[in-house]
Amino acid sequence: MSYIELENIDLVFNVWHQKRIKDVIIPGSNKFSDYSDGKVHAIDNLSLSLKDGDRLAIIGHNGAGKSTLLKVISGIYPPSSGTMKVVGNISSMFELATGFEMEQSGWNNIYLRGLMLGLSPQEIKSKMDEIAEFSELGNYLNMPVKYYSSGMFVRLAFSVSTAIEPDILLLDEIIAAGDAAFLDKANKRLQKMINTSKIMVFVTHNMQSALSMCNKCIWMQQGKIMLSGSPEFVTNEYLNKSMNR
Amino acid sequence: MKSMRCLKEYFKGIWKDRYVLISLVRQDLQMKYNRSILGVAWQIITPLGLSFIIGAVYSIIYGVSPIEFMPILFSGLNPWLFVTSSADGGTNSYISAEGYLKQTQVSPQIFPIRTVLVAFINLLYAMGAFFIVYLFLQPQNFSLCMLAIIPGLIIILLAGVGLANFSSAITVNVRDFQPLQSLILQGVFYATPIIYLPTMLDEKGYSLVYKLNPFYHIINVVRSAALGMGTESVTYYFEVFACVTVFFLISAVVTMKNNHGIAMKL
Repeated sequence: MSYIELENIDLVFNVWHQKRIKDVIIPGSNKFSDYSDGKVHAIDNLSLSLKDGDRLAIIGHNGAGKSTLLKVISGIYPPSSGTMKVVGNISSMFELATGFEMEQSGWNNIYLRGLMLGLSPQEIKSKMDEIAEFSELGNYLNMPVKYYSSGMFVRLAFSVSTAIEPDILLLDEIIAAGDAAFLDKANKRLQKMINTSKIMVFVTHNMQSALSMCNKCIWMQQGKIMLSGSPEFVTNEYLNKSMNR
Repeated sequence: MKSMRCLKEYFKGIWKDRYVLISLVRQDLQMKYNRSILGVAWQIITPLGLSFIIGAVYSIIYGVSPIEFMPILFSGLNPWLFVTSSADGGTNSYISAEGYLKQTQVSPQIFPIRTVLVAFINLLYAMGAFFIVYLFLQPQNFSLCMLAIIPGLIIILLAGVGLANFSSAITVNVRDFQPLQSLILQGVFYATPIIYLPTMLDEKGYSLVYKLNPFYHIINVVRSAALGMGTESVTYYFEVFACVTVFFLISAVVTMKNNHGIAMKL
C-alpha cells in the first residue's frame, strides 16, 4: 500500500543577497538589487493525505508553491517543520531539460537517467531499445546531447521517466515543448501510467487536464491550500475567482 | 549517536547509488581526453614532463644528479597532483550536479567521490608510468618493500575523499572558498618536500615544517613505498591510516549535515 501524509508542513527558503565588495564600499551602488537577505515562506502550514487510487491535481497562480510542494513530496526539499510520511516508489518529472551529461550521447544519458530513477543496470539495459523507440530520436541518440533542441530533450527525458512503473507519480507541467505528434503519444502513455500507478500528483494550469486525469483537486495560493475538493468544484471556483479579479 | 546515524546514511546512500557513481566515473574518464590525440597518455606525460623540467633545473643550479632526483620528484608529484585534483574538483562537485540534485533523489554524497575516483584512476596510470621509468633508472631499488604502495594508495584515496567532502560542503555555503583553497594549496606545495628533499629542511632546522604537515605524510605513504627504500615502518603506516580515517569520517558527517536540503542551497 502506498500513501502520502503531510501534516502542518512549512517550507521556508533563505534568499541570499549577492553582496559584492563594491556594495560594502559604496552603499546603494547596486540599484537593481535592493532586496535584503530574507525568507520566503513557500509552503505554509499545509496538510494533505493521499492513498492508493488518489489522483490529485494542484492548480493555482505562478509562485503559489505548487512545484515546491511536489519537490517536498519527492524528498528533494526537506520541510522546515511538520511531519511527512511518504510510502511508495516515486517517479518524478520536473524540469525535463536539466540533469543531462551534455557531452555524452543520448544512449549514455538514457542509461544514467534510468540508474538515477532507481533501475539496476540490467533493468535499464533491457529497456533501452523500448525507450529509444518511444523517443523516436533514431540516429540522434548516437550524438552528444549538447546538440539537442529543447523538444528533443523532452522526448529523451520523458521516454526514460515513463519507462518505469512507480507507485507514486509526481508530474509538473512538463511536456509542452514536445511537438504535436509526440504530445499526443506522450498523453496516451501518461494516461496508461496514471492507470497503473497507485497515487498521482499533477501540477497543471490546464483545467481540462485536471478534470480528465484527476479525482481530487487543490487550489494553492501563497503556499496554502485555498480550496480542496472534487476537480469540477475546485476548478470552477478557481476560474470564477480568477475572472472576477 | 547523531553522528553515527549520519555515517550510516552516508554509506547507505553510496551503496544505493553505486551504479550511478560507477557510470559517472566511467563517463568522466572517457570525456577527460575526448578529441585529444594523445588521450590518457597526458596523465603520464604531465608528471613526467614536470619531473624532467624541475630535475633539469636542479641539476643545473644545484648540481644534483637527475638520475637520482627525477624518481623522487616523479613519485612525489603524482600523489600531489591527486591531492590537488581532489580538493579543487571537490569545490565544483555539487554545483556541476545541480541538475541531478534538483530533480532526482540521487544521494548527493556520491558527487565528491566521483571527482576523487577519476583523479585516483589517473594517479594509478601515472604511478604505472613512474615504475616503468624507475625500472630503467634505478632497477637495483626494486624490492618487496614496494608492496607498501597498496596501503599507501588506500590511505591517499581516503584522504582525497575527505578533502573533496570538506571542499564541496564549504563551497556550497561560501563560494569564495575555491580561489582561497587554490591559494592555500599553492603555499602548501612549497612548504611540503615534494620538489625538494625533507633532508634539506632537516639541515636548516625546520624539520617540524614537514613533520607536522599532514600533506607530507599523505604523500609520503605513496612515495616512500614507490621508491622502495623501506624507510617507513609499519607503525608509521598505521598511524597515518588512523589519522586519515578519522579525518574522512568527520568529513562524512559534515557532508551528511550539509546534504540536508542541498537542492535549496544551490
